[in-house]
Order: sequence, then structure tokens, then C-alpha cells
Amino acid sequence: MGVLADLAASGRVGPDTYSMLCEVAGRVVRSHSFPPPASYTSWTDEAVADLLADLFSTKGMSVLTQWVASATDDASLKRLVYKSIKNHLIDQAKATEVGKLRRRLDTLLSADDRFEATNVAGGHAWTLKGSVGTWQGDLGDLVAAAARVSRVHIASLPPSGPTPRAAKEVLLRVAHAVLAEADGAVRDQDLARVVQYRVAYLHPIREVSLEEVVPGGDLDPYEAVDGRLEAREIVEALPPDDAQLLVLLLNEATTEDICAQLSCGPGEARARIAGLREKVEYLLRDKTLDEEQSRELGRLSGEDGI
Amino acid sequence: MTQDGSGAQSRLLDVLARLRLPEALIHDSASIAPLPAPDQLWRLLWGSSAAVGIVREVHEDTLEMCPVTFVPDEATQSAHLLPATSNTLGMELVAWVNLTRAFPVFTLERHLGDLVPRQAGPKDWLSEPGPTGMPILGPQEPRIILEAELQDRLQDIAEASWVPQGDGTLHKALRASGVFPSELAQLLGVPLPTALGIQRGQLPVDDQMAAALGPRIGLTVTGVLARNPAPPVELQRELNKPARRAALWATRRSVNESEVVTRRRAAASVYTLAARESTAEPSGWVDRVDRYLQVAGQAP
Repeated sequence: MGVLADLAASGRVGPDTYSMLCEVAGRVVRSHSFPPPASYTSWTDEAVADLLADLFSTKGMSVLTQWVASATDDASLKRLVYKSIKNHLIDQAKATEVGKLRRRLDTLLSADDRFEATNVAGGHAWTLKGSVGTWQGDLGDLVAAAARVSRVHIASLPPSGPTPRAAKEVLLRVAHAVLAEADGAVRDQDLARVVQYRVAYLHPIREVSLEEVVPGGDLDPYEAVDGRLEAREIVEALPPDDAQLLVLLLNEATTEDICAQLSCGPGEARARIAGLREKVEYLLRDKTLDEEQSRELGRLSGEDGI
Repeated sequence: MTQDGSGAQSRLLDVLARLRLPEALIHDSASIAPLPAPDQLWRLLWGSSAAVGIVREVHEDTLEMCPVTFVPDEATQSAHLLPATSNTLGMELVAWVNLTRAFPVFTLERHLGDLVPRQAGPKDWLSEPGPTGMPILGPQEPRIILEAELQDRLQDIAEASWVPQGDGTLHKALRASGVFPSELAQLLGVPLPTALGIQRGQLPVDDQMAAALGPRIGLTVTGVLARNPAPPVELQRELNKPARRAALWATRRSVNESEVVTRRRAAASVYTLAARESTAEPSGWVDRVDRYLQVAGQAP
């Protein structure tokens, strides 16, 4: 009996499901750069078990029900488990980053007399001096305002302690633009989320080698991407899932090929390409592209393709 | 589970031991499928795509359904969050009202439960504004990919079909290959009037006949069946009922057989037999399908 059949028949996590969960979780942490849980220095078996215990104690019933309701065989179950664990790690990392950034913004904005601390129904908030009322609009408008702020690259930010001068200037510029758009008090948590999204990549991404994303076969991955849009450099700066997608696009894979390689449908492929485009644009932020390179970027990002 | 562990592994085993899926999702507890009705929760399944939805409206061949998922953290601003008290599953639901659409009735796989009437306020859980998921900030958010993946699955299910649409070209293929009624009768082992009916495009062939006929006219079994005249709408609807699905699956010739093949074989077999037995327009599909499923389900 397969894992899904066993899970669906018993309603409980048996030994086979347990082994599958540990195996998939191990695969997720090996292929990404997520830090291990606080009390571990590396991704040992215990650290992986800690991650899973955390996932299942917070949303165990929800994810288990979701998996069994959506999976149709063991392979699709594994894909769902992989995505859930990966997204849980992203959420954790983001929550930690947003929390740290919220505290950092509290310090920076308190010391700048253009900003004013206040309280709203949802808790502590920030506003620009002179603005009245509480902002109640669409968070997407604030994200768009933050996106209009240029030159926001932050090379690195210390995990704690004072904010370096260049990073401080960037964070204040983005926060000011967001609060100007809001024209009212914005909850500190929302402000931190929007600023964090704009200055993403506060932490360097683990580099991957091309061999990791183009396994085996006759294709020389370096030959396949080198010299195009400085693709090798870009591919190696991306997380493995995105790097694999970029290599497929550089090799002019069809929609069907991409869907087959990534085990996904066309809608998901489009969504992943849109996310990839934003990352590639970020990685190319300091480069001036010639006409051919611009066309290549347009093609990669689906403007005349998928 | 028997794994021993310490620290985190023990904690994980403890957490997992406390989890049990809702009764309605456990195969052994599946009961006889009811007739679809508004506010029911059903699992939809077609091929390798599955999803769960709330029935909003019931039509003859389709159902208007609002897809639901179970992990509130994955909701976007487009999705309503319904509390665990809203349904008999006792689970918080993410109701994707923005993705409500029609699904073929034969994709209903299992009745999972029902929405329960609200204690106060408007009766409908979905039409009134309530809590929603967090807004999406940009294309790199995993929730965008999860919603797109859900949409892909819904698209697959919504586009499901098994009836050979408007083909009915078998008689032309026979003519093109120079197959005459007497040869056809001999080839298929059927009386001459039946062979004439097939020759005129009035009668379908079943899978055994298709296997006998295929090599003669250069088609596969599926290819022959796909050229059959479409089965009557009343027969299709009888086979489309959710209550028939489990019995239809029991007639599969192998675990890898697609549901399209299983359904087409069932329709062709029932229709062919009915056409042989009746000179007028056949009817009585409920009994005919009952008989077929009983016999075919017991076949080795």
C-alpha cells in the first residue's frame, strides 16, 4: 500500500508517512539556504524533526487535510509536502525578518523628526508629521509607492546592532515614500512588511552550482547559459528552483517542457516566471543592458513567450 | 508508530500521534453519495487533479462551486476565511470566492460534509464580507504560486469530459475500408440486423467488438470507440451521477486505466446492448446501468 493510500485509509500518520515526511523535509533543507532552527548549527536529523514538529504543532490538521484532499498519488503527495515545508520555512524566515525590521524602523523613525509614532486600533503605528487619521487603504498601493523608490540596494544588514549609514538612508527613504502615499497612520507591522518587500534580499542567497540544477545528461550547463545575459552569474545567484526555471528558459524550453520538468500546470509556470523576472531584474539592477540583452530579458520574463 | 527518538524526534512523534484526519476524508468511512445540493462540500477529482469545493448552484450537468482549501496562512485577500464552526468537517476553510466556476457533475468524487446554518447574521457564509487572507505584496510571494497551482487544478477538472463529442464517424470508417454488413456480422459475432445498425451509424460497438474490428480498419480500440455515435444524453446523465462513480471504478480493467476509457466502455456496452434489445428508441437507463455495473464489476 502506498503512503497516500495508507494515510487516507487510517487517517493517521504511520511509519511510512513519517519516513516520507523526514525524507522530503531533508530534501527541502538541503536544496535551499534556510537557516536551521535556533538551537541547531546545521540541518541534522534532529533539526529536521524540530522543523516538522513546529510545522505540525502550528498547522498540522490543516496541512494534513490539504494534502490528502489534493493529492492523487504518492508523487503528487510528495510535491505537496515539499511545497508546504518550503513555504513554512519562507514564512518563518520572513516573519523573523519583518520582526527585526519593525524593531529597526522603530529605532530609526523615532530618531527622525519627519516621523511621528502613534497608536491605532491594530496597535503601534507610524505617520508623517502633519498627517491626520488612520490609513485604511489597499496594501498594494503602499507596495507600489515603495516600488517607485529607486536605488534601494542594501548589500548587507547586521542581524542586530546599529544600522549602517547607507542602509539607514535607504530604509528611511522607503518608509517616507510609503507613509506619504498613505497620508495617515500605518501599523508598524504593515509598514515593516512593505519596506521589507521592497528591500528584499537583505540576506545573501546561497549560491548554487549549475550542476545542481542541470543534472547529468549531454547538456553542458555552462555552455548552455554562458555568455547570455551574464546568465551563469545570475543562475548561480538564484535558489535552485528558480535557477532550474531560468536554465529551461535560456534553453528556449516550451511551455509543455517547463510544465513537465517542474511538474506544474501553465498557470503555476507563469506565476513562477513572474517571480523569477522580479529577481532577475533585481540581480541586473546595476547593469546597463544592450538592445539584445533587453530582448533576452523580455523573452525570459514571458513578454513574448510563455 | 514504533520509531524511537529523543528531543525533537520525540516531540514530532507526539504531535503526529495526536493528528487524525476528518472522518469524511478516510476512505473506509465513505458513505453512499447523496444527490448534490447547495452548501455541500465535495471533493472533485479528474485524472491527476483533485480539489474541494462548496456547491453553490446545481444544474443538470454541471455544478457552480466555490473552491476551498484548508490552510488559512495560504489565503490571499480574494479568499474568505470561514471558521471551523461553519462546516461539519470542523475545519477552518479558505473559500476562494473569486475562483467560483462550473464543474462537470461527474467530477464529484466524495461528499465531505456540509456548511452549517449561521447562528446569527446572514444565512450565506460566502456572500457577506468577512475576514479574508492577507494582501499579496508582489510576484515573489509563495501564495501567488499556490493560488496559480490551485487554478491549474481547477481548470483541469472544469474541462473534464469523457463523451466522444459529435464524432459518430464509425460508419464512414467502415465504408472507407470496404467492410460490408455480412463481413461485419461475422467479424463481430453479431446478428446481421445489429451489423446493419452499426453500418448505418445508428449503433455503437463495445470494447470487445472494437478490439475485433480495429485491425481490420486500422484503428486502435480507443480509436474505434471514439468514432461511435454518442450515447443518449439520458444514459450519460445516469453514468454521471456521483453515486455511480465507485461502481464504475470497480469495472476498470487495470489500475492504470483512465476514467475516460472506463466510462466510454460502460456507455458503449450499455448502449449497444440496449440497441440490440429494442427496436424503438431505448430507455430504462437506470436498470440497464445497474445491470452493467453489477456484471462488469464482478468480471475477473
